[in-house]
Amino acid sequence: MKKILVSLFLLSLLISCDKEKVFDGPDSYGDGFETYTEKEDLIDGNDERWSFFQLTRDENNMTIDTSIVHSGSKSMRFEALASQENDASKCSINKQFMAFWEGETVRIDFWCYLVGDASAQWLFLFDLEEKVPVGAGPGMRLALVDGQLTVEHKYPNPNLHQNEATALEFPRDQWVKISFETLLSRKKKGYVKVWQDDVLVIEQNDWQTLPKDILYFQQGTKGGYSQIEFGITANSQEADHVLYVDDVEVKLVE
Amino acid sequence: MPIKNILLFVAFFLCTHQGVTQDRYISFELGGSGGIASINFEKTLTVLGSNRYSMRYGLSFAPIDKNNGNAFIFPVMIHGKWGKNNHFADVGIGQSFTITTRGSAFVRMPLSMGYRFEPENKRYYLRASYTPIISYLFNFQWENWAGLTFGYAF
Repeated sequence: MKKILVSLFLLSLLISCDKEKVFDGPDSYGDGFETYTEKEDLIDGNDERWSFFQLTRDENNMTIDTSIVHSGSKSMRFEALASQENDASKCSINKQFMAFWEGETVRIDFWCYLVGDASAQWLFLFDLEEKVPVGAGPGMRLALVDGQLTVEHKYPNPNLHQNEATALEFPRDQWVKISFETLLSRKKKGYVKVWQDDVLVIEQNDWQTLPKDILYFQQGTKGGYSQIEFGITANSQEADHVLYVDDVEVKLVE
Repeated sequence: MPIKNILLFVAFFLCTHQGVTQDRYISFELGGSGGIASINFEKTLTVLGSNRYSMRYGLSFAPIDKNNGNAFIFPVMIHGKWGKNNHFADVGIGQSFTITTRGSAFVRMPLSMGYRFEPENKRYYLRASYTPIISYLFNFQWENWAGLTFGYAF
């Protein structure tokens, strides 16, 4: 009996794999959407460009746009119906099989242009996620809450709101530069910083920035993130929205 | 895949190991090795004095979300019970296999270390355990957890 118990435990340790070799992938990516003619061009089938679209309604649509651009002559236009309760409306582009590991600092810069003044409560603009065998893609997301950029976690961790005294409204009908930087840690040793037009609006140090396994609800977290998502990654329940995105850049920083 | 083969071998061994006595228990564990709660069938493998070793086959459930479905969890464990006069230490180790309704699967390793109260000549037992759940496939994660068990012999 002792042999069985000891063998089981040792076996479990022995078959742990080197995750950084198994789940290797790029840790940087940039796109100004200048080389595309139609949205299908974004997907090359082998994940060198974007991996897939998320379009959860027939009416949701994304196009290569030439009328509202930040730089060059093209941008991505995302149009989504309002979400319903328990049924998120998505219109976004996703790149998977990337590799951002614990201890690394990831920086994401991109430009957004949100059309109109309709309520955008809990409209999600960007996701940094991990794909897990069991669970719902845990990670961190940028959302608009009460008209301000907010960081939401798809794992048990409080949302990060802006300081009331210095909070910045998210402008409409104009290009806004969003920068997101995070030191990845499964313990409270990471940080999150968010800039809006180069003004630091959220800073949280000593923070858990990576998910961990949670009983049997979330299994197979690897201590890293593997996918990025831009666009209307989940729309507000309060209104349909049109969002333009341009000049996306994801990279590791020292 | 060597990992799959090893896991299949362990699962086969655990599921086919024959007991030498007829003691059987059905138990309900709140929290514990099955997650939120589990029902379990336990069968004695061998008895050495007042010490007993048994197999435990559990079933549990975890709702995830609309896109990822629900998870069914099957904890399979070996338990050892040591002590006397109604009071026992109860230690277990095994594997918890998870299969979701979307077709994905995973395995974690539950441990159980607890106190078991099992009165002589009664058909029930109570157990309070520290039940960490360990991830080991991609990396090593130790998650603290605990459970309370009521078991009934039949």
